Amino acid sequence: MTPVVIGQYVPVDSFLHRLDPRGKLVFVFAFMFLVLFADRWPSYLLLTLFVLLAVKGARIPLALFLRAVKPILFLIILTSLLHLFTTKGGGVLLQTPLFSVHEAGVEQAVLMSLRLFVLMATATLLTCTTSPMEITNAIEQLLRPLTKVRVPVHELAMMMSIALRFIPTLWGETEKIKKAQMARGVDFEAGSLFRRIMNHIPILIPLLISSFRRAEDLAMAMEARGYRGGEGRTRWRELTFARRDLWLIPTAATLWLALWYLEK
Amino acid sequence: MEIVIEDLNVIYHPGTPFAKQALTDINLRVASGSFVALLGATGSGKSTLIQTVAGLIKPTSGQLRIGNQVVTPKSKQLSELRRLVGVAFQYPEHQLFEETVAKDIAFGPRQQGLTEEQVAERVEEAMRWVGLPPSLKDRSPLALSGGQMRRVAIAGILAMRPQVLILDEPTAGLDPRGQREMLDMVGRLHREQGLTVLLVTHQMEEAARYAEQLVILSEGRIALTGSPREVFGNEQALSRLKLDVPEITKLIMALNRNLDPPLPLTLFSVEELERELESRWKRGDDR
Ligand SMILES: Nc1ncnc2c1ncn2[C@@H]1O[C@H](COP(=O)(O)OP(=O)(O)O)[C@@H](O)[C@H]1O
Ligand SMILES: [Mg+2]
Repeated sequence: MTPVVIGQYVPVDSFLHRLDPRGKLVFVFAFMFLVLFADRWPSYLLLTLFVLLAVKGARIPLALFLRAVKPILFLIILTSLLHLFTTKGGGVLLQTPLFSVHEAGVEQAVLMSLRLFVLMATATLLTCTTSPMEITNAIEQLLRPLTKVRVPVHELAMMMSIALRFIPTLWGETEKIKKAQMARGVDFEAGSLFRRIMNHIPILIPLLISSFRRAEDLAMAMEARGYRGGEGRTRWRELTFARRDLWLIPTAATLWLALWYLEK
Repeated sequence: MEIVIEDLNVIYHPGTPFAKQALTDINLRVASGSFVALLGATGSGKSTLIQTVAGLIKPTSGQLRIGNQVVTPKSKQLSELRRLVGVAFQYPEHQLFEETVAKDIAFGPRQQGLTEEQVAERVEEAMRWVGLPPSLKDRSPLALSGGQMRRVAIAGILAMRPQVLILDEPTAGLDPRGQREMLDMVGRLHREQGLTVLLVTHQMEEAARYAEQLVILSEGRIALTGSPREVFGNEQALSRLKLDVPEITKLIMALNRNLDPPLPLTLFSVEELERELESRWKRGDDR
């Protein structure tokens, strides 16, 4: 029924899947920082190699993974072309009356492509190996200190998980209403842009109405089961750090040190 | 309007790992002006079949003909077909969106490019057909009862004057009285407007009482088809398909355990059964 979404959680069992989501989240942030900080050849070689190893370790079908990177292919090509023609420096590789390609341009083009690829791959790897529920739980716990300054962390996390939960439901509903209105003579492809936008009103309004109805039902059901917000609430699945999660620390440290050495 | 389906196959997401064959080798002929009930377990392909007939899903192979409109996998324009076929999905009231009942019913006819006068006429007529009092015209459709909202939705479809009316479980979620009224309405539309009706239902009673032809789907194939008498008389096939039998048929089966000769399984109303029993009693061959 639902479409396959880029970066959708792939429920297989792997070392990466079993890691604590909090550890993974922090590690991914640190890693992305490293990627942005690196700007030399050898560092990128190391980072790319690391990501590819991680993909292999996650036991995710490679085809599924490449599909996730495909949408940014356009971006990668565009930025590499820009760098190829605009970055000057080093020997001239190609000279035409219109443009010239310098060594530095080639280097920058390759580096930028790798940077985008590694960033996208890391984000995809996180969402492919961590269920939305785990990610919300992890965010909630990591941000818990902010409750001290009155940020409604629990409520925000609850909203996020409810929103994630209802994406497939709403998608199915959209399809159904769209078909119903098509049967009443709406042609979504025909007409001017304005016309085409106006044509979507008969979908949007029923969708909004049913979302409100669902929200009301859900609120009622949650209250009936005694939901009172985050205060004093216990969890069915507690997040626990295990020994395997500790591996993230030396891994991160080694990457930092290696990069610091390579960039020096 | 006659519907002819030949070697129809429908596959969702063909050529991907998510491919799912929903209909296999469907061959079916529905005579113009007849009332057909579509039965089958959840997931047997009923909704897929009616959406294909309504021109909302394209066949993967095979073809479909309604009147003189032919649909094949290569067909580009299905809007002509959609004009002939009116379809009410399950819970059609979820598609209401206008401020007033009249405006919502007018939505379809407006898309057809009729004049305001013609549209107003269509609205009035459709409200009468579904039994909505004219006083509800300017009310918000969202402030009506569930049964009334469903009537508004169906009126919105009838106002387009389709030749074929398709209803996907129109009685779902209504109380018993609402269910009866809804079916009486459909039966009346069929008789008075000469509409060809395709009704998806789970209730054998409804099917037996109203339909001239039953089509039973199982795992995307037509498992059994025929008149209610033929279908419900075929006990072996019914038990093989694990289908429910109308209550009255169950009663006759129970009576038959003590009756010789047995009563025919083809009586679908209390009146028919009463007449049969009476005539037997008069003949005095009932012990
Ligand atoms: N949009 C869709 N994408 C993929 N599979 C679908 C879709 N719609 C229905 N199916 C599948 O096709 C089969 C038939 O479904 P459907 O026609 O809805 O059956 P019914 O209406 O008899 O319950 C089911 O197995 C269902 O899961
Ligand atoms: Mg269905």
